[in-house]
Amino acid sequence: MKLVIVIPAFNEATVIEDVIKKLPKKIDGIDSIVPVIVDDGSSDGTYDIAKNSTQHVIKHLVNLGVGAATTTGFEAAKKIGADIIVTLDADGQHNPEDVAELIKPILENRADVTIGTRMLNSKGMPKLKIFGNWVMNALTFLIFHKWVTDSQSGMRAFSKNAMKKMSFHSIGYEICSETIGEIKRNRLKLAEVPIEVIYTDYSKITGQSWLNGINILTKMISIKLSGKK
Amino acid sequence: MIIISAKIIAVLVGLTVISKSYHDLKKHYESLVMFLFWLFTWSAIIAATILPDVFLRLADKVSKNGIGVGTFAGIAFIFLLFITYRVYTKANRLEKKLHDMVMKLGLKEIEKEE
Repeated sequence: MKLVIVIPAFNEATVIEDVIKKLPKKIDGIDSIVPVIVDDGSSDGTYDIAKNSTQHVIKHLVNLGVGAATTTGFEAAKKIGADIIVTLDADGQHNPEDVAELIKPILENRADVTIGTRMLNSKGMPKLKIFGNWVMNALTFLIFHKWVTDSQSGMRAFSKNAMKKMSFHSIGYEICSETIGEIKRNRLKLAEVPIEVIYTDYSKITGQSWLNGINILTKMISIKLSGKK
Repeated sequence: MIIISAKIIAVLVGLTVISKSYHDLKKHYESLVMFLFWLFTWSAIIAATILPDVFLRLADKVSKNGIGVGTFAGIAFIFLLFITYRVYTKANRLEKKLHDMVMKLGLKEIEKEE
């Protein structure tokens, strides 16, 4: 069983090495763990630093967005022969130790997709962020008719079966909500796993702005109107 | 004061767009037809801002010929919405093509390694 951890990164030179180093080396039920870093057109040397730390580093020639980088990561994972794909944020806000719990429902055939939810253990999370997340959850539910407690979480796991069925068209952050739509459209089994979030000064700066929320909303409507879901 | 500020802003925006369009024409990023289109459009906007009386008189004349200012504004609004829609769909298509291209190039490294 091969686990591929996809990390989309944009200008994360200060933390990317640490994030790669902290990735789990061994998980029960998994034979090999392969990190795939997708540098989304960084200008701060993220690619070189990541390349010195791990084998599979993909470079986007221009900055497109987290959705595009994640989709590229998925394609790379498929080529590598992934049985399970996990996505993590590159800013170090996710605890790599949570990966084992995140993939458990997939290993036990209880789920096709799992979402690491920050909302079931939101201790330490800024109040504004909690409010923003609930707003995005509500909007995601309204548009894609599927309720999840953390629609914007970047920590997710996908089975091979799920990856075969899902298709993504998002370029930016709207990929988080599009994934929920894809789960609903393909009638995939979903499990939510509580995760710990490490809020450092750095990860707080790199978070999404409320303006991005508006952008995500318009893109979600566009995806819905395109007739895919 | 507000009217004067609005006039200044309109003139500045207009001149910026015309100079940008001229710059793009010189660099062969834009065609002559496109440059003339923007030149005419923004010159008209600047003129309408500076000389509103002339345009009001013109609107009166047009109204007498059977087309009201409201109808004209409605047609202009629909035209603007159409342009917005075209730009939006084109940008989306280009974004998708760009992503496919960037992804293919990026994945070549993985293919070499595997």
